[in-house]
Amino acid sequence: MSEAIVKIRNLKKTFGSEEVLHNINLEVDKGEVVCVLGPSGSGKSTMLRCINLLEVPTSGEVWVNDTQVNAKGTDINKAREHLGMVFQQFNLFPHKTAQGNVELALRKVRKMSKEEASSIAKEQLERVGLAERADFYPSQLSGGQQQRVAIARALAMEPTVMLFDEVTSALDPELVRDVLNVMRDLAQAGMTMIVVTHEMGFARDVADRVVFMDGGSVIEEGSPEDIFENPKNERTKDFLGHLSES
Amino acid sequence: MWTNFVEWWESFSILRVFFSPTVAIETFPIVLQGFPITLVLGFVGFALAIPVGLALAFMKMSKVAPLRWVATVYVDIIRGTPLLLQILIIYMGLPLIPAFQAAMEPFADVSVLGVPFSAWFRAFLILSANSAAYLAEIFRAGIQSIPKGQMEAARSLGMRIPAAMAFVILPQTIRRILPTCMSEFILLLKDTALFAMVAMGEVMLQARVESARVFNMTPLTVAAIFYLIVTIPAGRMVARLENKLAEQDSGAAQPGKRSPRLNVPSTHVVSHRENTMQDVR
Repeated sequence: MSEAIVKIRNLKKTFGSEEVLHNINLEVDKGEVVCVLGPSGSGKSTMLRCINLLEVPTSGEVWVNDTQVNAKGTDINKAREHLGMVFQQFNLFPHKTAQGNVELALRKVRKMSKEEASSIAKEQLERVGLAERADFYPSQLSGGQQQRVAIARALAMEPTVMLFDEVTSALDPELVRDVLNVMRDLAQAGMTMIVVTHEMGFARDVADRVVFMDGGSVIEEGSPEDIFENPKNERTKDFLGHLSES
Repeated sequence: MWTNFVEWWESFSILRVFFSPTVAIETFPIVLQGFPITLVLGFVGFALAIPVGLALAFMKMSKVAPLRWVATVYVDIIRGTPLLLQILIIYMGLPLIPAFQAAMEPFADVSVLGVPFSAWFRAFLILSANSAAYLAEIFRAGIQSIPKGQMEAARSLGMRIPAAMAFVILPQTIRRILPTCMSEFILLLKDTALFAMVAMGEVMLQARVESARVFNMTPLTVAAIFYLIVTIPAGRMVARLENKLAEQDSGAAQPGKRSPRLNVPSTHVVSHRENTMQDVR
């Protein structure tokens, strides 16, 4: 029996009077890579952001490591330490070097010494192939490099789950591959990952499970083969059909 | 040579009235006496205004409505009334309050640069209270110009809001608002001239007294030079800072080099300064 590390139960989210997520249920097992696909506006990013409470769920439960993150008494800062997040827009700290970006939370949240944080930062930058760029500022790095620094920054906190929010969407096509390779390595190393993406190739190759969302609901989920070769739902077929045409 | 030149120069009444070398030499040391007072008023007043302004900025952005109201009303009142009026009310008013007199009693013998402690206290109170209202708007606009993703990234790493503010948001804000803050400092320094109205003994007062005594405008021209000694270099620094920041921003704006969201230009805040400076004051 596998142990679910992230459990989403009856999750609803409304912005004003508009309900953008209707009753989402999702479980992610340890070491599993789940890719969330769907047209833009389908609520996939909002769902992801509800997991680390960047958006507060309107109702329902979000559990991570047997802690209900959206319960009243939960220290969300503690919970977030187990949840690494990588953003579409990288959101690197522009006033810090690559190294400084990775070190900051280690120093200020983990209260590590300068030496300790520095050695972990070096290790993580090495892991994403940017050891020699440690002293560069974000503005001196390409988008792909910035995104890999952002991944290193999240990994440095030793999260149990990594959340990827359309991390390649803002990148020039030739820079996408490097970022996806880092994510592939991460998946092979056994990291639990929830990946909101438009990269069908990545989802097909790397995902253990694919979740298709549309209009704020999970429409279909299954193995990549099931979803890509043999989609059951009309909307899934439609979405995948559009993609192959373009 | 020199005497001939002075004679020739002062034979033109317009030159003699506005800048007589004889009067300038005679009154320069007296106006100079006021210069340290002007500098202390400007620098210390501004330094005290920074924390107050920051507090007001956070109050204005607070989720707690009453805090927002208090800060808004405060800023509106300060920015909506002349500094001269504020000086007269506070400077003349405080000593009429027995509690204030009692509080100042222990410092009755303390005076710095010939100005009694109580006068310094009231002057700093007025200057910091006034400048803080302007700085609050600059700080608020600066903080809000930082993309939302920065706070989200910091929070997603487990940082609490105060830590995220201190290590992620404010360092970026300072970079952006530095030129605007320096302009605000220049304004404040010039505004210290208003303390001549309550006889603080700064440059403006010395110059006015001398000017009336010798019945000539030269001491006021000398006073102008003292203000320019500070304001021109400071103004140049603002311009250089602005150019440097603009350069950095455009340098980072090469295609594919930086995300569009990180590229909010520093002009966002700079343009705000024009509002702050030109209205009300």
